[in-house]
Amino acid sequence: MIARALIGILMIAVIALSLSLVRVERDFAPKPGRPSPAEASVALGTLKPGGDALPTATEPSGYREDAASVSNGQSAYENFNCVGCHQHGGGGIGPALIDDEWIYGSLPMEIYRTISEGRPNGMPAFREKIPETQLWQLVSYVRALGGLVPSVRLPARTDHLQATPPLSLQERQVPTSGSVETEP
Amino acid sequence: MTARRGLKCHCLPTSRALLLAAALCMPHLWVAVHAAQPADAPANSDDGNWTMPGRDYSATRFSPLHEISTQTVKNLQVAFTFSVGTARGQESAPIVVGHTLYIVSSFPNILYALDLEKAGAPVKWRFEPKPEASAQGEACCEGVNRGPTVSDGRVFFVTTDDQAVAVDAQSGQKLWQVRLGDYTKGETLTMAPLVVKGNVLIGNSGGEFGARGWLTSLDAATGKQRWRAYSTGPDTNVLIGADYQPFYAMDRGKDLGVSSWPADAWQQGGGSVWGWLSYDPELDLVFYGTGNPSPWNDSVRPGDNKFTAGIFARNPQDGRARWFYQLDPHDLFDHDAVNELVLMDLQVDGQKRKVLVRPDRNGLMYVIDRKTGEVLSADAFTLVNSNHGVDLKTGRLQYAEDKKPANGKVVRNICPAAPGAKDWNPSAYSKETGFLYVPHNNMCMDWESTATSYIAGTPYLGASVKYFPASGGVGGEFMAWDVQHRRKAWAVPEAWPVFSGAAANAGGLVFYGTLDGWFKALDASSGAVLWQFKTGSGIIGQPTMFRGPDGHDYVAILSGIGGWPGAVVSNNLDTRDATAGNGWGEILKALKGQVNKGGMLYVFALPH
Repeated sequence: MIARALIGILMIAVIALSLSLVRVERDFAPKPGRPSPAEASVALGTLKPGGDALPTATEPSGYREDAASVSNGQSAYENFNCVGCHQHGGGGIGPALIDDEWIYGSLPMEIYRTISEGRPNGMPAFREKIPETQLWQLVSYVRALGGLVPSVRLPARTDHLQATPPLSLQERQVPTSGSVETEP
Repeated sequence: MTARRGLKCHCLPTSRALLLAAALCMPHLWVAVHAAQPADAPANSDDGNWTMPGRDYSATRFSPLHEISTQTVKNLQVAFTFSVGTARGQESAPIVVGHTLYIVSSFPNILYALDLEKAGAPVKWRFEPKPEASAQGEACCEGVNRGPTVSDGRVFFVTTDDQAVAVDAQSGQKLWQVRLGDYTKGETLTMAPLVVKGNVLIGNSGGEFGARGWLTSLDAATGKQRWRAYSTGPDTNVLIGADYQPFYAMDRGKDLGVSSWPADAWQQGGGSVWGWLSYDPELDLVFYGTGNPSPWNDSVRPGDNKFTAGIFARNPQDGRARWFYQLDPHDLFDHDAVNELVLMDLQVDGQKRKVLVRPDRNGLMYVIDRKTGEVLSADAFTLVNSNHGVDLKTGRLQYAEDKKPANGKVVRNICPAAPGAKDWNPSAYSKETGFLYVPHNNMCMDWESTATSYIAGTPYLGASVKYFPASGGVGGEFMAWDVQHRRKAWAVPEAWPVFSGAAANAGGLVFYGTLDGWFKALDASSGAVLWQFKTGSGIIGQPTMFRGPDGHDYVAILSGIGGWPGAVVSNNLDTRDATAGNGWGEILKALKGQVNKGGMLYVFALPH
C-alpha cells in the first residue's frame, strides 16, 4: 500500500519533472544570410514622387530578436568597439542609440545596412569585418537598446556559462587582419 | 638689407605696411630673413596684433593693450558678431594681423578672413578645404580646430582629415595643401600650428584610436616635410641621437619607445601631439607634450610606454630631441601631457631659472627647468587622490595604489577624472601680477577597465568611465596661481567644467568663457567679476585681444558648444547613459537642457 503510494508520488514527480523540462526550442546558431541587393533596398525618407517604387525590405528568415541574439549582440557591440563611439547607448562620437531618433531608420534591415555599409558622417562600414551572424545579432541588440524589442524577450543575465573569466580579463589579442600602421 | 626688410614685415603697424610686408615677405627672401632674425617671432610688442593662439612664443596669452581695463570694462559692448556657419564645437582662437581677423570653424574647417576696416567686419574671403565627411567619425571630440596661425603673410591651419594648408593672408589664395596622415586609421588633425624659423610644426590627434603620435615640420614656403618625430618606436623614428640628454635616469636608454611596450604595441600606442608648443629663441628649443598611451586600459600595455604622456624639447631645425620628461609613466587615466607650456624666468632658491610652467591633467602644477628638463616643483592645484606627487629625485610620479584601475572591477572616486584637473584649454600669464590664470575642472570619476581589441579606425579604449563634481557640487573653477609662491591666489567656482581658454591684458583684466555661454572679465588681481555677457551658445574657445584699424582695443571670443564635453549638447547625446560622450552623461545632464549649439564669433569694444 505504502509502496503503491510511493510509486504514485514518484510517477507524479516524474511527470512534473518532465513537464518542467519542456522548453522553448531555439536554433543555437541561426544563420541569416546576406540580403540580396533587391532585399537590401531601403528608403531613408518618406517622400516618393515615383510611387512605392522601392520594395519594403524585410529581414531574412534566420533573423531573431530573442534573449540569445540580443545577448550575443551585446558581446559583439563591445568586441567590435561599437561601445567606443556610441558608449552604452548614450552616444559620443556617434549618435545615441537609446533615444527615439533613428537617422537612418530603425527597421532591422535599415540598421543592418547602417552597420554593414557605413554612413557618410563617420560611421565605418563593418562589412567583411563582422561575420554575418554577429552582424544580425548586433542589429537585435541595437534595436533592444532603442527599446524596440519587447522586454519579455530580453536577457535577464548574460546568456552563457561562466566557463571563462570575464572578457575584461582576457589576454590581449592582436588581430591578424586589419591594418597596422607601418613605417614610411 | 634683407634683414631690415624682414623686421619690417613684422613691426610696421599700418595697413599700408601690411601690404608692403606681404610684398616683401616673398618666399625667395625667406632664408635671408631668417638668418638675420627669428623673424616669425612676434616679439611681445604693442603692435595690437595677435598672430598665433599663444600670442607669443612663450605662450603667455597676455596682451599689452590696456584701453579695456578694470576701470572701463563695465562699458564693454558688442562691436560685431559673425556666424561661422557650423554648429559643432568652436575652439579656434581669433587671430588678428593688421586689419584682418582670421578664424577656423569646426568641421568642415572653413578659414574666414574678416575685414576689420569695414563696418561690421564683413567677410573679406573664405577658404574651404573640403575635408572628407567620414573623418568626423575618427575624431574623439568632434572635428574641432584650435585656430590658424599667421606668419610672414601666410595663414597656416589644419583639417580633420589630416590636411595642412597654407593660404596667402591677403588674397586667400592657396599656397600649398598637403596630407599628413591617414584618417581611416583614426589619425586626425585639430591643433594650431606653430611656426618657428620657417618650420610649420604640426602634430596629430588620435590617442583614442591607437594612432601613433608624431610632430612634423613642414617648410613654410613649400609645405614639403622637413622632419617627423614619432612619440613611440625606435630612436631613429623618435629622432633621439647623441644630443639627447634627459635629466632623469628613467628617460634614458636605447629604443625605449620599443622596449617599454609589449611586443609591437608601440605601433598603435598613441602619444599623439595635439596640444600646445612653445619656443625659446635663446635656447633654440621647441617644447611640446605627448598624449595618452593607447589603449586607455593600461593592463594590456605593461611598461612605461615611452614616449607618451611627457614633454619633449627639440631643435626646431632638425627635430633632434634634447630632453624628454615623462610626467605619467605608464599613464592610467587618459592623462595626456599636451597642455600649454608657459615660458618664464623665475627665482628658485635664490637663483634665476629659465622655466616652463605646466598645469597638467594629472592635477599637478609643474615648474620645469626648460634647459635641462629638471622638475623644480610639482604642486597639486586641485583635489588629487590618484597620485602622491612627484619624487623629485627620480622624477617619477607616485601613483596611489588604491586608485589603480583593474580589470573586472570598478574603481571609484578617482581624482582628477580622465579629462584631467585641466584639459587643453590654455591658461594666460601676466608678468604684472605674477599669476597664471588657469581655467580648469573640478571632477572625479569612476573607472572600469574593459576588453578592447585594436581594429584600425575604431576607438581603442577599453574603459567605461563617468565623471562627477569633486566637491561643492561644481564641476569647474577659474583660478589665479601665484607662480613664484606656488599657491592659489584666488579662485572662482564654476558650475560647469571650464573648457575655455584664458587671456589677460595690461588693463588688469583676465577673460574666459563658460560651458553655459557666459563670457567674463575678471579683475586679474582679485578675481572679482567686473563684466559678463551671455553669448548664444556655450564657450569652449580661446579669447584674444587686438587693436583695430580705428586705434581702439577689442576682445574676441568664439561661442559654440561642442568638443569633448559639449558633444552632450551638440551631438544630442542621451544623458540617461552616464558614460555618454565617454563619461559626461551624468555631470552635464542639466546643461543639455540649458544650452543650444551654434557657432558665432563675438567681438567686444568700448563705446567709441
